[in-house]
Amino acid sequence: MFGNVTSASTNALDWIGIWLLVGAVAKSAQLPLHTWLPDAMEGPTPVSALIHAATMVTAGVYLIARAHPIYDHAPAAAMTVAVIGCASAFVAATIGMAQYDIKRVLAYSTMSQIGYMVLAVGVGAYAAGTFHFVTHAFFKALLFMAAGIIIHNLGGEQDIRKMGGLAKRMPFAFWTFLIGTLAISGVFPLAGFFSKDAILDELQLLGHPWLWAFGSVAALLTAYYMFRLVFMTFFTGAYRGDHEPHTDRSPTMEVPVVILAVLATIGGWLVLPGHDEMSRLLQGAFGDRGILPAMGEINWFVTGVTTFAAAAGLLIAWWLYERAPQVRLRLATTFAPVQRVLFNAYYIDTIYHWLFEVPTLTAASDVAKYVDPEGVGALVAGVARTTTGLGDAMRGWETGYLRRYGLGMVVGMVLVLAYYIFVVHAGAAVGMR
Amino acid sequence: MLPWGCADVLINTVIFLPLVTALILLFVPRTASAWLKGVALTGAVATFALSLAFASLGVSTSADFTAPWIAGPWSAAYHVRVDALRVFFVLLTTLVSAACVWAAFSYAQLTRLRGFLFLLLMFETTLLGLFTAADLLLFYIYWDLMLIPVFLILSGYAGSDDARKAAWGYLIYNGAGGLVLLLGIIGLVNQTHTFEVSGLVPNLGAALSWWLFGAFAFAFAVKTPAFPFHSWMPATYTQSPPPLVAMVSGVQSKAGLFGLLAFGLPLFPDAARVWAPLLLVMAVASILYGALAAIGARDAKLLVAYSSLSHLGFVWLAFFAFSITSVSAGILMLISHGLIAAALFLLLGFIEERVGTRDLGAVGGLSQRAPRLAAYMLVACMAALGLPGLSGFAGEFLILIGTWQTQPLYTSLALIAVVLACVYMLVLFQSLMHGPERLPRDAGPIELRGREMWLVTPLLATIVFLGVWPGWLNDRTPNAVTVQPPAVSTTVGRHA
Repeated sequence: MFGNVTSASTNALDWIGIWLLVGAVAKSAQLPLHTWLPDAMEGPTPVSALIHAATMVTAGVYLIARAHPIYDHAPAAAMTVAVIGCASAFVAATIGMAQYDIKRVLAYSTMSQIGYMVLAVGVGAYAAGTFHFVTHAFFKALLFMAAGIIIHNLGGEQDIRKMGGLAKRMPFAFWTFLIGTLAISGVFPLAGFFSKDAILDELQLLGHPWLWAFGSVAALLTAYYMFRLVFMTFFTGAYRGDHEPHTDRSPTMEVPVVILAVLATIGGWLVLPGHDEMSRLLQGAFGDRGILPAMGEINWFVTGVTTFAAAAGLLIAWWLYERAPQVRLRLATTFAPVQRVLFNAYYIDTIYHWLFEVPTLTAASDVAKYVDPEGVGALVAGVARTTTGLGDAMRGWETGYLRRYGLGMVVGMVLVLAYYIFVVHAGAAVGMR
Repeated sequence: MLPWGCADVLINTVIFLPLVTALILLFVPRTASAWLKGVALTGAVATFALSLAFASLGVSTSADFTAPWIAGPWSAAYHVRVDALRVFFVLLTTLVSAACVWAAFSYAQLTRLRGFLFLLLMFETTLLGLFTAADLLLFYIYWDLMLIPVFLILSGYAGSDDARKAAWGYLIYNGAGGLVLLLGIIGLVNQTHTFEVSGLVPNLGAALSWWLFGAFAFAFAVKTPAFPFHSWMPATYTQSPPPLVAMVSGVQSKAGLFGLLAFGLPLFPDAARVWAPLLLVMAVASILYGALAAIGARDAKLLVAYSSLSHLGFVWLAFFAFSITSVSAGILMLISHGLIAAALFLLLGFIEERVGTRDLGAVGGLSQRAPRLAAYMLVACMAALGLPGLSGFAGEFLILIGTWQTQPLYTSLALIAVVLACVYMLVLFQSLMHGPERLPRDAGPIELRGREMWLVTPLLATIVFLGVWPGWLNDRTPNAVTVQPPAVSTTVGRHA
């Protein structure tokens, strides 16, 4: 499909790459077109798990990876991809720290993790990006399904401020959710560790220290907000909800979750040294770029930082929510404005609302209500009125008095005769002379 | 394969069978509604079935029938033709008309059914005559003749004062358009001395061509309609009984753009290029203005009416971008829009008949009570908003690919309307089908009846067919239209 890309100019390829990126950004909920994803969480949990976490939203990443021959020859576009991915990973993680709706936290975590994938394909680490794509499908679907069990048993409650202490009441949900959290945080040896490490490794190898630094900080934030979610949901003292939770259990609900938990645990082992099935598969599509950094030559620095970030995030969350809640409350008071901005997702939704939605809808309703019937319509009605007016004026002459008609006829005949005699006849006479 | 020996007979049979059926109806007693329905439907379906024979026409073959008509300095012939271009408009007309005649059984008061069916069938003949006319006089006669059935149905069968007002608005506005077209035709024939102008590029001089094409374009823009000549449309579309509005928006609105393809562009290729900058602005204005007005509309029929303004604006854009891709995609879009608009207006008619209102804020949650209706509505709405796999997408996408090559700026502006189309079509579907139910529980059954399903199904099936295989239509049309390559350097003014 892209056999002839080299025949196009770099400038053209850059623009093509940018426009493809716009599509990918919208589909994969990346900055600045991400606002639909948290709102899409109104759907049922299995729908969120399938469409808004594991499969559809990653289509943007797939598009860029598929179009890699373009990005290989479009350095500016590729860099834009990487920066947008990195920014999305980081910004979404910060928003995730301040949310209270369990599904919204997971939604922002999806945006953040897809940010990693976009970042990876942007710098040309197609294998690492695709690998994270696969492991993310496992652990994010797991998290959504486990969250679904909780929400179901709480009768539709999604606010984690009304949860707490559920580890004992819902042990199945707790253990599976914990596996998902460890996996997404990048804790060895779960799936997320391998794929996230592969991306950060590649960033270092390909010489992008800043992108790597932001990616690593985002990894810390990820561990923090995910464990904040775990602690607020399953620990932090007693249950805070209004209604006693049910404890429904059924194989239809639990078997899929178990399968996903197993995959989220072992999914990263596809790339163990000597069994690198992933690279073997991806080489067909990406050539050299399809090979993951070899596990045999572990970059201890990068792996160390990644692991430290995960551990630090976990520990901070534990300390703030289990050990020293008074510190957390004090911080919350001091940084209340920051928290408000994060809770409102930097007000991007509000800005879009006033920037696009309100003007469009106002213009639309004005056009339909006033401009079309009274403006354009009136213009035409004006033409019609002029016609009617002419008709009215003419009607004044139709008096019904025969003598006036007679007078009219006589005057008319005289005029015609005069015209004939003085103009036509005289003209002819002139012509003859 | 068509037995071409009798092609001439077949053409005239297809054109006049609806009229003959209409005349037969006059001999059926007014109260024998079963007979009336049977005769009318048989006639409409038979017309469609016969017209299907033309689908076997090849790319470069055509079926012609010519009879001498008027001799003398202004000669005219009764010349009708079905070729690779006209065949699609003929099929669209016969299919939509059959559906509309069938749908009409729901609407007309029983005592007035005969007149209603009579006028609908007469309307079909005028449309078929227009789309087959190869002689300009014949074209003009049908162009104005079709005003009569629409005016009579609107003023006599819709029942309200608003409808009577709309009828006059329709008649005066379209009559004015027809008058200007007549002036243009007179101006042309004054030079050519014959109404047999197809396949002829008369040597008229730039100034005269400019005036004549302007007159044609004005008439076509009124009929379509295009912004800002659309002010007859909202009232006509909202006040017409559903079968009539389905035929007006589904078929009659194609008359102007068909006239452009069959007469306007081939007769005045250079003048068309001089006019193009202005008409392109008109196209983009229609596209965006229609889309905005559709979003703001609170009346279901009005919303679809404005969406037609927007969608047909794409076709104007396609034709005046003068790229071979966009022009043949424009034909696909015309046929596609005809099917979609007819399906939408018929379905909205069924809904209005049940719930008694078109106010989008007053209905809701119908999908619970009428899942089949909701499914049909969904296909039609998705086709209108351009979902891939349905005909609306094929037309719009190919148009934009074509226009992008010659008019990137206008194409970019038109793209905004693709997004806006999603907004208004989803608003339409959501406010009718989803959300809280606002109707009383005992409002009676809402679900589609068997007859209604059967009459809409062929429209939707064709929408899917053209969406999956647009090539069936799109591969045949490029040879049928004359698109000259973009003018290189000579401006037309210099020829004078």
